[in-house]
Amino acid sequence: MTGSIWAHGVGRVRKGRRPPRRGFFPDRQLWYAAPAVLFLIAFFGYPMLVLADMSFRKVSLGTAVRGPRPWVGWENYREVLVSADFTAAIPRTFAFVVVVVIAVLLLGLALALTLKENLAGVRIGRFLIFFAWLFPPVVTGAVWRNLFNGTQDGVVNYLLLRLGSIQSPIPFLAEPDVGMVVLTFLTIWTSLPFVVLVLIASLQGVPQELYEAASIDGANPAQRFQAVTLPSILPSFAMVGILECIYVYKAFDLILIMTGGGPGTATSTVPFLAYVKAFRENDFGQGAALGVVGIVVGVAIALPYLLRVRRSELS
Amino acid sequence: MRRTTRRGMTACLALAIPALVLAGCGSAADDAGGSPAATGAPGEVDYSGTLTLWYTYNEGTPGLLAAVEEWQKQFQSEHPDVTFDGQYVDYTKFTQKVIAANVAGKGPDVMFIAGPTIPDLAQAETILDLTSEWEAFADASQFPTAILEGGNSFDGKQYGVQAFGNIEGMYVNKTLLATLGLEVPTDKTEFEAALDAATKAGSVGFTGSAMGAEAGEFNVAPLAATLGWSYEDPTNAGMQDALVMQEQWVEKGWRQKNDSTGFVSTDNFLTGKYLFAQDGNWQLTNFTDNATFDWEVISVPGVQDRALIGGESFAIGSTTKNKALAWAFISESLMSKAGGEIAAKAGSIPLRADVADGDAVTSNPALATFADIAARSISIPLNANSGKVSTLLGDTYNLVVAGQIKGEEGAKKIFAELPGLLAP
Repeated sequence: MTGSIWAHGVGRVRKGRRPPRRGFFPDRQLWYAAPAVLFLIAFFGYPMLVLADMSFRKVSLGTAVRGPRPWVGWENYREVLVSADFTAAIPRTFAFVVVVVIAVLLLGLALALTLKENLAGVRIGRFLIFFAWLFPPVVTGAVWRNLFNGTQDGVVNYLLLRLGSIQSPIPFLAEPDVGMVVLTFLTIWTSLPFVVLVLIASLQGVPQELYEAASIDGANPAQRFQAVTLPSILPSFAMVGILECIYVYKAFDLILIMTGGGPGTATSTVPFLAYVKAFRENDFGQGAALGVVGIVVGVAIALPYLLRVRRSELS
Repeated sequence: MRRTTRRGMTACLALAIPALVLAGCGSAADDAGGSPAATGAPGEVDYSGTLTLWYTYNEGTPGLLAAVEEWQKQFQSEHPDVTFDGQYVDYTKFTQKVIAANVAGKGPDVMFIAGPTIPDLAQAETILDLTSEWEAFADASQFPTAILEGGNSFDGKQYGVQAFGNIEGMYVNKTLLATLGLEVPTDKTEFEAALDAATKAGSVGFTGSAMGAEAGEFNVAPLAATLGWSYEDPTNAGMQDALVMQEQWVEKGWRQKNDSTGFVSTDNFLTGKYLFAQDGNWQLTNFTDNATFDWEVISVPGVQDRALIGGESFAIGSTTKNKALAWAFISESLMSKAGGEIAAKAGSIPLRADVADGDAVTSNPALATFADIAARSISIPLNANSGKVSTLLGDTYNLVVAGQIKGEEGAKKIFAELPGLLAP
């Protein structure tokens, strides 16, 4: 009976007697979590260990599986952390994440406020938002890449040339600054549906009575938004903001399809650089080192979210 | 009966008769599409079962995709009990997929691989050593030693064999050229005058893919090699001259920065708005079928009259259950005279002397020009840093065409890093 609720003597502990000792094995209920724990160890824990180990070794594509993989200590970290590609990628990644997250939260809130009503036209808008969310990034990237083709045959360039707005085609994806603007715009576009849907759900959960009470107190729409709407959705808003930070930081597919991180590595983010090192240069050791750095940064971003989840669980 | 005779003949010839004599005796059979006599495969060959082939050809390379079918049919006509399972694998993921499949105990019997990937594949023990097969191969003397042995060897062992080369050449839109009132250029001055005229007339002078990594290397090396650079002379000024020339073309609007964003040259050229395109011989059938204007392939001294020899090597996967049959397919079909003619029909440049000098090439002016360029071309030396060499050259070219760095700056970077990477 060790581990059962009776073994702990609930309702049976006599005064003056020590409660029975907790056995070596945890409560039976915890065993139900075993498959999930095993899954996490097999598919997250072990690969992380391999990644960390690889980051201290010299590993190429050819030696990744059967070796030799000599130990090089911190050399991979030293090389990648001082490389021009990495030092340029840090501020770029930071700006990319900040701009996308702020834009997507503001636009998402505006759209959610518009689309939360159950009106016929609004329902179509909500469907379209949901529909856009269904597109795989590969499809989205391929379509937009065609639109932003940097020759006279690209759709956007063609229109701008016909309108006389430009004299020669804009090389959208060949200029790093323009390329980053395009990537930022596209990431906002692809992230927006998720934010809108979460915020609509959150807005619809705000009790109508609060609005009625605020109206009786003479609050105008702006005051109602400030005093009722915003505080009510703030937990969801903060949560979705942190999640967006994580998603945007991890952005990969759109960068790969639209610019491939180039020209050179001029539109690469820190996580994307890990891919470049590992799979373009076949230097798995340096790729792993960048991967570890990327994970550390990712965890730092995710920490507020994890703490919030923990707090809500405890409360 | 026929199979038994051929099998016996293979063993006898491979073991007993000098290669030169064998080549002479085997010509009739070769004309018919190769024979087991030419395989050089040690031991018995069981001509039954399924061979899995992995290749990088798809609808984007219709000529070579059709060639794969032809090679299979050719082999099956001699050996009807053999079936094929052909699979397309994306070029950029090919090496990783081969290694991953090998770890799982799977993988192709025969694969069409890029030469520079041989060091990685060999180190990962995913491909078999073909040195003894090649040494016993009767028709070995038909192939250029430098490419067949030098370009396919790693660590003193030969892991691949190659039947055809692929290179970049210069396509010209003759219809557009005629509209501009110009003749086909024969030197750099005339070429740049044509670029200028095309741009002033509202077209685009030149297009060529300038992606990073191997793809970029494959495009910049021909331009640099034409001006005297090579892997044996990695700090030769020809590289700087080529990069500066491209920087100037971009600045003058003769080529677009968009060239740096992907494999764009084929689609660009097919629009008919581009006067010149640097593209591969593997697009010959594509342009023949789809171009709505007259075009031809030219060799322009001072711009591009050399190239970097590419093309797929044939290798045998280490997980194969039937190495002898895999080698028989390679030697009897892919490396045979008939196999070379199939490659030529697909627009590739056959490396076999008797095919390269034959009608399959000489009767096709575009292919003949490519073959002429190939004769002066350079190849990539293989070592464990091949990936980094490609990235250095390709990414530098990519940055120059995108206007991110000057040609001189790019050359300085290459001259500083390349000799170290090429050192044994």
